[in-house]
Amino acid sequence: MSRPLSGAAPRWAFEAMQVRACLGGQTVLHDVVLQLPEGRWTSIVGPNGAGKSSLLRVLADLLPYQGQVRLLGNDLRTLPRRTRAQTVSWLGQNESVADDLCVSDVVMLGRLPHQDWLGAASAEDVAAVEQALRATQAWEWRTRSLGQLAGGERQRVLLARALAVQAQVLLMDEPLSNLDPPHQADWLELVRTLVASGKTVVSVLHEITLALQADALLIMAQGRVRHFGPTDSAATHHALQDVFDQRIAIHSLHGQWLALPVLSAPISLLASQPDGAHAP
Amino acid sequence: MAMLRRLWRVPPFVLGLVLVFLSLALVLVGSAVGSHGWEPVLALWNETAHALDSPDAAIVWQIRLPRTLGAWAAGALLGLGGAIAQGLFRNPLADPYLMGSASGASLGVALALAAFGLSPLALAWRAQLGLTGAAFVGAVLAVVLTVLLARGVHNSMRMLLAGVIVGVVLGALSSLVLIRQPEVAASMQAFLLGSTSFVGWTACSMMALTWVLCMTLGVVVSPVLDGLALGEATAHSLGLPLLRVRLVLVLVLGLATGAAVAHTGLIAFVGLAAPHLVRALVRTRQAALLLLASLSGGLLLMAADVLARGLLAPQELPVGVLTAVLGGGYLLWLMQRNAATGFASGAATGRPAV
Repeated sequence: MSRPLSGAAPRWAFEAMQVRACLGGQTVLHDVVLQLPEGRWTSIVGPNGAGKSSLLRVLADLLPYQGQVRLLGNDLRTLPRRTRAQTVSWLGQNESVADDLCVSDVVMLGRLPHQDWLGAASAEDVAAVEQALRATQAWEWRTRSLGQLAGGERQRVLLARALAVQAQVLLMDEPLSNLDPPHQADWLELVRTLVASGKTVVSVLHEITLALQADALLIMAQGRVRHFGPTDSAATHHALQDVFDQRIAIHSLHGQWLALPVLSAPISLLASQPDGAHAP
Repeated sequence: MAMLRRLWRVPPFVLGLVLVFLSLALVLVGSAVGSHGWEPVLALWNETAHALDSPDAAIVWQIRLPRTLGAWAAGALLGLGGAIAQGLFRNPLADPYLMGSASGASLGVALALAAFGLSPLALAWRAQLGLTGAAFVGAVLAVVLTVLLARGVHNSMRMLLAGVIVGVVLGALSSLVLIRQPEVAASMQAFLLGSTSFVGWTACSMMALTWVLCMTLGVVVSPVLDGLALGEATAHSLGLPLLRVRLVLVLVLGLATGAAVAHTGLIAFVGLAAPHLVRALVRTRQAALLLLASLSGGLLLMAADVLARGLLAPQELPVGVLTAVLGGGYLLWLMQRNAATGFASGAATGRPAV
């Protein structure tokens, strides 16, 4: 199924057995079986409505499910809440966050799983907050309120909040939304660093070219896992083109993978500008 | 502009000290304002030893002081309730009456008035306590009904809707009672407008006790309100016990508003405006926000009460009318200011509706 992992026995960040989940009376996940390797970056991809976010929410224990999910070998259901919160960090999509919160307070909330109830922040917490804010280049806004930041800046603060948990596993739903290309590149490097230090990253990305930067792809369609495999294997590329109805093609360019749309005719013929300005 | 905004922010403890100082000053003013003017206080000041059983002393000790302190306590309960409601429902327009407690209390009072409103007993102090009890029971039952209708506390949207439904239905029932017994309408009016004039030492101490209990519970569970500001999913991912704490918060909300409404009637806008006042001045965690919002609520209602007594003295305005004008005007000003500065401060436009 996947390429051999480094080291002896493979360790799984997540194992799901016959996971089924419903949203508003509709089954959004059908008997999902998967094993996501530890210390790797896995991207979940698939068409709209494939169940990508639902699967991520199940892994984060945010969506009720039938079946079993194991987090680093432990049953997710019986794991103490605090242990789970220290182990898994969550970055959601389009979550409404109060605008009047101060940036450093927001990131400090990421330390809640490590703090005593109503306890003051320790030096370790303060250091973690600074590290997270610097990692996302958000340190200079630490005294501002979220309402004073643009969409992409806000996203970087929320990313810093997720980093401040210093969890073993990071789950991110569309973390690159609102980020401009330089900060998308920064995010890619950040995830590489995290994975190099042994952390596991699972992300939902609808931008296939960015998802192809991951170590492995989990390809979903209609609430089912269609394929799981390393990003650079031909089988994975085939499965990817299949779930998108052969309307994308995977190309290699300078050692990176690129997904381009497949058009029924060359773009110059499809365009119908009367002045012919488009002709090469 | 951002610099200007930052200058506006004051450290939370400074705001707290200012609020406490202003409140203490207003207690002094409050004990000196009324139909008899300054004289009772001056008389007390001049003759100290044997003054405690004089009529002047009675005016200050038995009427003005409990009433002023009672206004503070009721305002503090409403301010606390407002801050909790806005944090719990993640909506800046949430007010403490959102869970149906206002209409529940009204129905309780309407039923009590209809049951024994016409007897001479109604004027007695004991009947007053009966009305207080009816209002409190009505408020708390309405909150319980809202939670039952919402099938628990795990979905805040459903709680919000259930609260609206309970409010409308119980309001209709109150109207029905009033139609059947039109003679209670006048007494009902006083309750609906809100008034601090019946507050004595008993009411004062009951509200103070409730305040201590509710504030303690609120501060203890405040980390969950902090987490909820990041969204429910994130709050859950941080390992916060959302379900249990929501239950505690709903209970505190019901208790705080129930106690305030029972003793002072439906006082408008204090619960809504107090947290906004704090958020416009300081940026802080929820534990401090609850305390500061509560202190502001107390100050607001006490100021409104003093004004209500002093503006047209010896006549008296219903304090609820004043709070509606003051609180509404303040929120309007805040809205205008936010529109003028061009970005959301979170006070009036910050969080999206639930």
